[in-house]
Amino acid sequence: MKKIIIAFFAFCLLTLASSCNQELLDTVPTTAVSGDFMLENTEGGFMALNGTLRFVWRWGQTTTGNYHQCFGIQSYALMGDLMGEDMVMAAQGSGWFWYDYNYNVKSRFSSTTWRPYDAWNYYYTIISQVNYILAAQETMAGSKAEVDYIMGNAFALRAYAYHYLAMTFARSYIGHEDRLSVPIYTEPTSAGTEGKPRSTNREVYAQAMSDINQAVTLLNGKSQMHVSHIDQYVANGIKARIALYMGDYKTAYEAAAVAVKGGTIDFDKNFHYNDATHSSVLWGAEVITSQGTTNPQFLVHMDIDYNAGSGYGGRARKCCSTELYDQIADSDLRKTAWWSWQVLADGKTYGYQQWKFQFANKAYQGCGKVDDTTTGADHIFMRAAEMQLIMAECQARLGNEGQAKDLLNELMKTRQSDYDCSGKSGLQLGKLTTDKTGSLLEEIILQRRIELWGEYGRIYDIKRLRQGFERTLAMGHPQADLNVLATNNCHLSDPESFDWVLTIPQKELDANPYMVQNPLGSYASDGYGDDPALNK
Amino acid sequence: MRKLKVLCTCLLTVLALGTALAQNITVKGSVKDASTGEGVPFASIQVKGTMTGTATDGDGNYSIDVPKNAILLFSSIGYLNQEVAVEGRTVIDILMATDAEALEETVVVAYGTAKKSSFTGSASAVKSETLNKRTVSNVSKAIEGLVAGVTSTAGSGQPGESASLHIRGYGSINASSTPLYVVDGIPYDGALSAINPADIENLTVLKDASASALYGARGANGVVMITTKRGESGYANVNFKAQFGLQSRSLPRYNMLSQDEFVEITWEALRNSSYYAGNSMADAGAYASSALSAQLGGEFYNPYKNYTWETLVDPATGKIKPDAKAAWNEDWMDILTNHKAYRQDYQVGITGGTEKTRYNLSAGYLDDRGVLITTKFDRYSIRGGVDHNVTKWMQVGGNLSYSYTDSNSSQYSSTQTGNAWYTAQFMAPIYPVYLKDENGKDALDENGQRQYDYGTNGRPKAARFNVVGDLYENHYRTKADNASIRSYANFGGSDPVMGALKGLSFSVNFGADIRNRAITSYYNPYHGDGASTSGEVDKYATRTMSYTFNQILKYDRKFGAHHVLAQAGHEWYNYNYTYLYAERTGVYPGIYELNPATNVTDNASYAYDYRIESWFGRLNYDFADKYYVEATWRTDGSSRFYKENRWGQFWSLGGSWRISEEKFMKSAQWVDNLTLRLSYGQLGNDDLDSYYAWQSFYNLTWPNAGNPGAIVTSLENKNVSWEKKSSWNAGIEGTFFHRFLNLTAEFYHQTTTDMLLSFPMPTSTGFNGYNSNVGSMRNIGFEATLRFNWINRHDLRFSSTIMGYKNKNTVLALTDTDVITSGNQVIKVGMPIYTFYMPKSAGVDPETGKLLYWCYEYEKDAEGNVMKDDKGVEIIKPGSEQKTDDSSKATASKYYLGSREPKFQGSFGSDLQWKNFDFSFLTTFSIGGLVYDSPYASSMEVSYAGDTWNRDILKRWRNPGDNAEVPAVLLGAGRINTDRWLIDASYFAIKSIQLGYTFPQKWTRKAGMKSLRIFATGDNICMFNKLAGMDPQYNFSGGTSWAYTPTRTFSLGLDINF
Repeated sequence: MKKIIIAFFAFCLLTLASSCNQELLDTVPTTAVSGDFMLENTEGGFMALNGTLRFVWRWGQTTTGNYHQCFGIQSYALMGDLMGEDMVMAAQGSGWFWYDYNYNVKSRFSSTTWRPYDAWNYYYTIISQVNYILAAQETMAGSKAEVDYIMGNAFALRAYAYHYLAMTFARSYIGHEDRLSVPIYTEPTSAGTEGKPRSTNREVYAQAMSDINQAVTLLNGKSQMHVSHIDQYVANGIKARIALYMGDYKTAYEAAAVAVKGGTIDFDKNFHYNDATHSSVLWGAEVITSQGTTNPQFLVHMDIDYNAGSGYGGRARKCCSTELYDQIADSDLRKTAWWSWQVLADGKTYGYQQWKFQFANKAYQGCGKVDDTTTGADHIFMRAAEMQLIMAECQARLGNEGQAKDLLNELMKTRQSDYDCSGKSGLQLGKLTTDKTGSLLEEIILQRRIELWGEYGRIYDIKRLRQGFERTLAMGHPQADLNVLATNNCHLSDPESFDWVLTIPQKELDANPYMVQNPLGSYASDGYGDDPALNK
Repeated sequence: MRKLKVLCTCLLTVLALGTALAQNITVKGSVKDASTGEGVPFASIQVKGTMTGTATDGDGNYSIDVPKNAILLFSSIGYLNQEVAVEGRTVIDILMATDAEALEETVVVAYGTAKKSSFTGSASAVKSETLNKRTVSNVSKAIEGLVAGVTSTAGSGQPGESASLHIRGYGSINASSTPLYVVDGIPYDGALSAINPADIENLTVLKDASASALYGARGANGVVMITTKRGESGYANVNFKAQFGLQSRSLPRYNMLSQDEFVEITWEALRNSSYYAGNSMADAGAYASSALSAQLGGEFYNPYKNYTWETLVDPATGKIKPDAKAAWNEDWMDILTNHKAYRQDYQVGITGGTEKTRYNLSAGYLDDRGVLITTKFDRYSIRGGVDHNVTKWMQVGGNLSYSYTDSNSSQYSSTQTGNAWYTAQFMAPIYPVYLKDENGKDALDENGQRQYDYGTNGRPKAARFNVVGDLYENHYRTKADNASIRSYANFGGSDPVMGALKGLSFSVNFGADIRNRAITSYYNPYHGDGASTSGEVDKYATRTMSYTFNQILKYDRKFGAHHVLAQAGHEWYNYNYTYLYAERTGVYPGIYELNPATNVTDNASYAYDYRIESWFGRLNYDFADKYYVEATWRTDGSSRFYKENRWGQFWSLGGSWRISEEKFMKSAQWVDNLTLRLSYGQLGNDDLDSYYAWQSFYNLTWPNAGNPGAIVTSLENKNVSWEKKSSWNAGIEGTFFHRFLNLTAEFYHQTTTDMLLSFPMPTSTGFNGYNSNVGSMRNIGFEATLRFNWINRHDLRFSSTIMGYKNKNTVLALTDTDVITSGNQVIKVGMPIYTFYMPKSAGVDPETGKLLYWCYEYEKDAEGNVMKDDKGVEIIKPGSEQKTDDSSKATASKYYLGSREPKFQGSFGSDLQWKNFDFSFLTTFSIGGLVYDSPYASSMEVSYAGDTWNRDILKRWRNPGDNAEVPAVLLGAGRINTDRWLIDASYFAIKSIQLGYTFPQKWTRKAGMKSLRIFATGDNICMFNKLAGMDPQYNFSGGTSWAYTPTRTFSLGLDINF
């Protein structure tokens, strides 16, 4: 009996004493580290920077669906091009970008799978990531050069994001300087950070300009550590884009003049925009096998050789409008290198099939087969030629027509040997992009449309140039698209229209009491979706 | 039990015979069951105060010689004792009333068992006989309709997949609402599909706080306790069971257009698009004819070889030419269906033991083929257990189980092109499965075999895919090893050897679940998603290992009419999950391994840890089997929370009163038993989707080319802590009219507070929210189960069970906003969770064919703010409601339209036994609630070329003046989603029917068998609901998807005991 009792209590004590160490309840994940720890030094700073840059080009991170049209910078460029008149989307295909093309996305703001949420979330995620980095500017351990490099990149990314946000969610800067733009955040986000009201275009661009100036200063003289990073040339390139959109042509010229030195401007007909190390590229992303993808990337949407024409590029062909194509001189090498007449499977032609953008890993153009989509598919964000065009445009606008023509001729001489724009003069642009004036500015813009086709977002230019445009069957736009545009009652010929101003996503409206929606249709009305700035 | 009874009565008989009998009178008679009127065999009859006695024979008759003035004591196990004075009578017939308590089942409760009558909480037990009437491969699919208060989804038709359960409604929003599964006393982390349903002895659902409070940490959503079969002392019993069946869809398909109708509707949609763009009907018709080819993918896919697309449709009528003849008409879904989807299930089990050692062993094999070609689930299971009494004060035991499961499924879901349930169901019927030549004949390969058409000739839908071919050529296989250990050692107890410490015991329990999965995913290099990368092989290896170790001190003793039970314990729970993934492209065709594939494209690994430490205690006291009180307390520290907010306190108080035992009830003869119960308690929930919910992190999976990269993916909130649920339960349980009627009725009121929500932040801050304890929610409900024993005779028994329940969910508080929007649904204060909030359609404009919507304006105050009523609902300005075709206005004019929550649901079933035949059926029903049917919506408003329509599109508007239900057909019309897609979710389903025959013992004995039964069952037989094709039980929130359809099984089986 005694033995039983002793054994009993001994066992009780033994097992109860096994009660566990409290520290075992402190668990941590294996794929993440604490936020406080990361930005202590430049080693972590570089990781945060590279992570943010990966976000800039990684696909499918911004929505809960429709991932295939969400792959960062190039997807917004393609969207912008498809919203203009120069790029034809010959068919709906799987539907990616088709709704952008048809101006059929604004009403989808309450969904987290469509463009309003995608674009908003994309730019503001970049902003929140760099705000963390920038908050560590004073405390980050490491060499000053490295800290400056990291901070310069962060400032430049923030400037870039605010610029593109304003271009997407507000009307043009010029003419709408004091109209509502987007809210500005410069502090790191923490749990409970409250939403801010929309600032005006003027305030947003002041922030963007201040950020990019800081970036230019911090990055001065530092060499680019990776093609995806922002160096002094890229920073100046971003600055040139911002100033150009603002109509600050002097600043734009000066910045572009620095940026253009970051790459070559001559024409390489064998370059198919799949290699970020190409000498003409200032900024891009290097895609390595394990980070590449099969479907949701720019080239898949462009190259008909992907999957023998049954990929997106083949089923939803991206073509040059006949209107633009016909304005290209026959002696212009780009005309044949980049586009060709194609008869489609249904016996019809909708325009000029593009060959500008092609995968690297395939035997030859038109072979119907891409061997590998995960390499030879780099992303390209900025080229020197764009800077040369900005310089030319700015010189023309600043009254220096001679220099403008020299700059344009210099760019064009490797593209079209008999090119000469010296006979052109003036700054007039038509009310519609199809109304011709024959001015020098129009010529510069035309070369911009040709040179940057597929890579810059035509609609952003149409906005800043304060023009309207039209699409017709004759230009190659399919009837199905024209039907939707007509049914949706778009007013693309009016630069004051809200058609090219995206709606604010519902998630933002739900959580931000200060947020005001953009008009859902072409114009503000006193009901839903008013722009209160109009009522002032 | 019966063996014991026989033993006892034999002993008594021997004693009786051994007693010298005085020369008295002989009393004869019969002893019968008061409720059934049947004889009670082997009842003992004893002369009070002597050792004299006898027993009834097999029919309940007896004969005994006794003194004239003797008092006879009648007793039998399961019946109340009776004393009868002989008073000179020679014939005494006795009706014995059943001892309700003795017959009552014990219920499995947290850390032990309890007699149901003494139990203060709410629990429902389902026995193996009932479970086994369902032909299911996963036990979660068998619970529907058996337990009041449990709502179940249908679950995927993929063999082996689980159904989801909700016990008493939605318990949470962001945290889990699913119950805790406990197998043999230890929380279970294995796969439910790894458990062979035949190994289950008992399944008990704990519903209220008193019942589940001892699972405090994780009991908030109720607990499903599974007890597996254990050995009993006695002769070895060998059981063999075999079942073979055929499976098919249990839900019909959506009604889709025929080939001719599809072409006509497409033509009309093209015509309408041009008409709406401002062209005349005639021009629009011409455009439609010319555009048809481009829309449908060119002449290659024109089955009408005697017309071109352009000439096929008569523009005057919109009909295809009457002499147009289709060269093919292939049904994708039919070709994808495995018409010989069989299911075979075999088990063999042995139980037995001695007084000291009891054992059980069982093995099973299941081969379950899905109705979708190539899909299947195989399970090989084995289970063994031993219980051994080492000494009178020490017992040890445990069981071990292992199962190997092997399943083939498809790697696709939802609207992915590779998902057969999406692509095949909505593939326009003009597209052939098999490749055709220019004449429309099958284009055969060199072996004379038909080839799949991969749509590479311009098919606008699913180009380069053929979901039939890809199912054969791709591969998605999951092999899993599942092992579970349950073991215990118990010291002490109520044996007299414990002396003064009698009643004191200490036990340690250890249980572990280990699950290793190896998943191979292979995409063929020729077609589908693999084509662009020359194929792809993905390999996943996951390992789940969890263990629970607890130590419990218990004191359980009776002092006269007082019974005391006290328990205290400590528990440690540890969960670890590891994940390893590798991906290569450039495969060697047909080899599902990485080695021969050329490019390493991805690999990853990570691990999760989750731990809980707990202390708990329980105090029970009852008096005279009349009054019961129970109190429990538990505290848990969860690793999911920051250390200062880690520990949660949970407790419960419950009482029950057996009112039928009171003197004043004795006169109410019709009451056999009546118990009232009341409980209140508080439980916790830490089951957020993240194991590291409070922490802010740089996620390290963001390398930029060769540079390591990280981004911030979550915000820190150290305050995140337990979600709590307080619940009241009041119940009545009774047996009436000599066991004719059993009734259980319960009312509950549950409030979830500190509800874990993502506190919304504006997207412009870079985050949509952070984890926070902010909301609260209420569930009020009523459930009742009535069981009628219509007939209870020896050769005819017939009973029916009807159960019904109603739950009313109300969201009480959210974050600082009073609404969280998720798509077409809102979580809004004052309304049931996931209330549909959508624009309302207002019919079709007869002149234009456009869809009309209701729009309105809000009532605003002087400052322009929207006014709300006292429930917080925005007030619509009276008279402002009007019809419009402007979708922007409609988007701004949403209505609260109801939720998925049924008004009432329940089940009805009966069991009938006549001679050697047995028959049973179970039906379930649900009344009210709405489902947003997205497959239906997308087949009524087709957005993508090559998709087909639901036949309801034939009710469309066609010409000005038509009064149509459905607006003019358009492609990608941009019409907004409205209440058009909200379908009444009511249904009535026949869940199972079973007919069995047990061969007479006199035959089976000769063959050396104890029993032999053959049976035929139909499982998940059919469902009647509002819309053909819709699965109203797809989920709890009121959605549907393009998912593997639930299946029905008709099978034959046999069950032998040796």
